[in-house]
Amino acid sequence: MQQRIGQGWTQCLGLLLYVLLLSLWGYALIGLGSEEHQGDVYRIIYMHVPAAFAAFMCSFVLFVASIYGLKRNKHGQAVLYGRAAAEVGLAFTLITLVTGSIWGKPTWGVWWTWDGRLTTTFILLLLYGGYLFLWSAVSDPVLRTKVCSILGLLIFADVPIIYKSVTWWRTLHQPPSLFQGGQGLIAGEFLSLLLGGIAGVSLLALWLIWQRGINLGLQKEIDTQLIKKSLRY
Amino acid sequence: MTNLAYIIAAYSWGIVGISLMMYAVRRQRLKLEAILTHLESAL
Amino acid sequence: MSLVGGFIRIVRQGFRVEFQEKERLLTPLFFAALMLLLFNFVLDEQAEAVQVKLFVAEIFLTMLFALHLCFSRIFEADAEDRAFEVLQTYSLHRLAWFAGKYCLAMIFGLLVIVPMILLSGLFHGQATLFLLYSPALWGVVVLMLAGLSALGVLLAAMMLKARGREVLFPLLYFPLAIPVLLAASEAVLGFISGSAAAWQWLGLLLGFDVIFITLSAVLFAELVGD
Repeated sequence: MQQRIGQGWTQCLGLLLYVLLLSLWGYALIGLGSEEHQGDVYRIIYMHVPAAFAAFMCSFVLFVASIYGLKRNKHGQAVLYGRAAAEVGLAFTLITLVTGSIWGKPTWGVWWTWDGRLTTTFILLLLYGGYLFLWSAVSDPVLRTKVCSILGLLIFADVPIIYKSVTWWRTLHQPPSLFQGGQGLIAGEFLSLLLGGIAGVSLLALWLIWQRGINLGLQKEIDTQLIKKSLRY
Repeated sequence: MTNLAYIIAAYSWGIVGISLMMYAVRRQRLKLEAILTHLESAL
Repeated sequence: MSLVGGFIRIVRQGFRVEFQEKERLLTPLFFAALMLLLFNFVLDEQAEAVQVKLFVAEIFLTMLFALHLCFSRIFEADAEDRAFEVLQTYSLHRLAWFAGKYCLAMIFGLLVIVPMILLSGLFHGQATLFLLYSPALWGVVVLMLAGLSALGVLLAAMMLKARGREVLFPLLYFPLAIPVLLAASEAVLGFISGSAAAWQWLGLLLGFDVIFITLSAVLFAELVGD
């Protein structure tokens, strides 16, 4: 089975990324000094921002998989990677929202605020959920590929517009928050670690999409084999 | 809650979430491959 | 069949279906009236300064909810007796099909929105009467309808064969329509107060319309094609 060839090294790659991330977070927790305005609580940035980046990157993967599924691969694997991207994106969106909320309490004094980025992330969560519901609502595989691919394209097209509109809306209705999304933490070591975290989590998200996509392909093959078996009898 | 508690809460959530995803993907792979191997040998 | 010929046939067929069963047009209208009633119970603020804001918020929210009823049923008649599949085999230009449905969505949307806005103006009384004569309000309403209609027609076609589409349609339609809601309400409030930001919001609304009308037309053709 083609998907199973080289499984060993792919699993090691995932594990390696995971271990590297754990080391990075360990260093962020213990190795770095406090920040001028937020004290120690700023360290949450190394979990929150990379997760947010991964959540939005998954929408790009969904977009690519959707284009491919619509134009070239109507019966194949592309749309399965789209579904995998939506699932992984949903998980990282949830991580982003919860870590953002936890960070917000000591920083802004509230568990939730209608900040532009958090609001857009929340909407993205709803869209990923909607994509997965649509997937299970359509039984015909060819039609499912089409409608889910179209939705993937709509989501990717709308997210920047949602972000722009919500950010403008917040600018009009609320004074700028203390937290500038990392803009206060631009000195060397802080920035390198943050970029490292973003790269690490993004690669891990891509790995998860890849592996989950393969799993979905295996599931599809099992279903095909079961049908063949039942036809024999 | 002290600042340390917030930091631990945030990191726990993220690390546990990512670990669960990796574990779920791995576990599902092993299960699917076992089923597929069984089916291929049966057919 | 030519593009224009196909478009005219789809629009004509749509009118015949909608006006055959009056309840198809009246249900969203009654629903809009009900929403206005509920909003006025909850947002019972008498201060004049707030009336304009409440009016704008009410009409755009009610529009969003009432239009979702119009759009989700735009292909309902085609789903009966496999008419949708038959239409797919006809030499009907895909763009004509989309344009026809889009035009129907706009027309029925207007038939619901105009009475709804007038009714809301009546509920709010003197404080908001001047708005009913405002070209800014009606212009923004038409632009909002233009964008929402494109999105609504595409989503309705996508969900024709989906289970639980009564729940799935609003679940996808509302989040995707958020920029339209924000832009429309902020643009109108901006024009009323004379703020320069109103043009920014109008630009966003126009941008949304252009992107989504184009995208919806292209993707609709992909959806109904082979």
